[in-house]
Amino acid sequence: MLMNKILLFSLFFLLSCSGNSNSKMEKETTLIRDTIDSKINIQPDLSVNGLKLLDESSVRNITSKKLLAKDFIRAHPAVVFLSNDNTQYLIASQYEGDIASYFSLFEIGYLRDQPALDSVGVRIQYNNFISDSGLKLGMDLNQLIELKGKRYKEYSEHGVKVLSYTIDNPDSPLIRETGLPLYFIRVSLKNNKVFKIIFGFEYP
Amino acid sequence: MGISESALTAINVTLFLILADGTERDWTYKAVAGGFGNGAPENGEYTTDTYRDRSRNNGDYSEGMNKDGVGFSFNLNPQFDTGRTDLRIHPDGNNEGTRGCIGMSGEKMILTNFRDNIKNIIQVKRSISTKVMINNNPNNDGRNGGKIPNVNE
Repeated sequence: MLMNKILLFSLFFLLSCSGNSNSKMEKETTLIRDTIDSKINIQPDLSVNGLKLLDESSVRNITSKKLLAKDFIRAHPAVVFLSNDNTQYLIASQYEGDIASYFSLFEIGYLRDQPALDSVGVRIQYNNFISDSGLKLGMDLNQLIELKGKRYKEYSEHGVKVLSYTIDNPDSPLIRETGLPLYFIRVSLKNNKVFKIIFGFEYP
Repeated sequence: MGISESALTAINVTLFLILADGTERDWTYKAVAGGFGNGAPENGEYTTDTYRDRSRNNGDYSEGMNKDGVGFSFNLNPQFDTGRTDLRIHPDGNNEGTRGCIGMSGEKMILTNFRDNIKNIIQVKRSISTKVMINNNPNNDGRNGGKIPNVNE
């Protein structure tokens, strides 16, 4: 019997039916605008400076250093990259159950807003972090909308304007090909200037 | 990424306890594993430790690790070589399924009971011996690779 093998405490995970194949603060959000049409998708951003989502081999495009994702930086294990001029950060989150450096979520921001990241970051050769479509810090609202379109949801979060783009249509090539349920881009603005960008796949 | 190997698997999580007087007790909970990414964790020996509060209003908050208002995670540490990283046991929030973690099913009372049982044990005994046994498990160690396809929405 299985229990005979247990000396003190044990947890066992047993298959019962295999046929089934198939930030610290609570967000104070106020929805301001919702023009998302789930049938019409935006062009997703999938990389930053050559570092790609869901592609562990792309790490070599930005660093040759050995990376170790750390807990307690964000909700999921993450690697922090710092711009060469020490003004911007890129947090790449690696979801639980995935392999090393297989990132599912990117966050770009100013180091001055998150100074503690300075001590845990890996400095890379670039002075700016830019996504494949051209998303970057400092762009203004009009540039953002020109780049990503008008199919966004806008809300206020603790007084900060946030524009959110989502792809969750199962017929979307991105959702279909990755098998992941939801992709999003969330851009935060102060005085109509972008100061934080988060994009990638939601943890299921 | 072997999407074909990511099929959602329903499992039972059974906690066996042998008390100091020799009395045996066990509790069984419903859970799922896989459905996304590399699928269920590989069969084999693990240890379980490290409680983290994942509930809302917490810096470790993760919607995917919250269900019915209960959020927590325990580390699930493989005792063998694998490419899979940071496996956890947590409530199965968001979409049904996980990227390799054990996603606990059930309602608030069940999840709270499971959380508290494991917390109590690891307060006494820092780590719990754990075995994963899933029939027809593809045992994907994640090293097959896989890249995001070229997508033109």
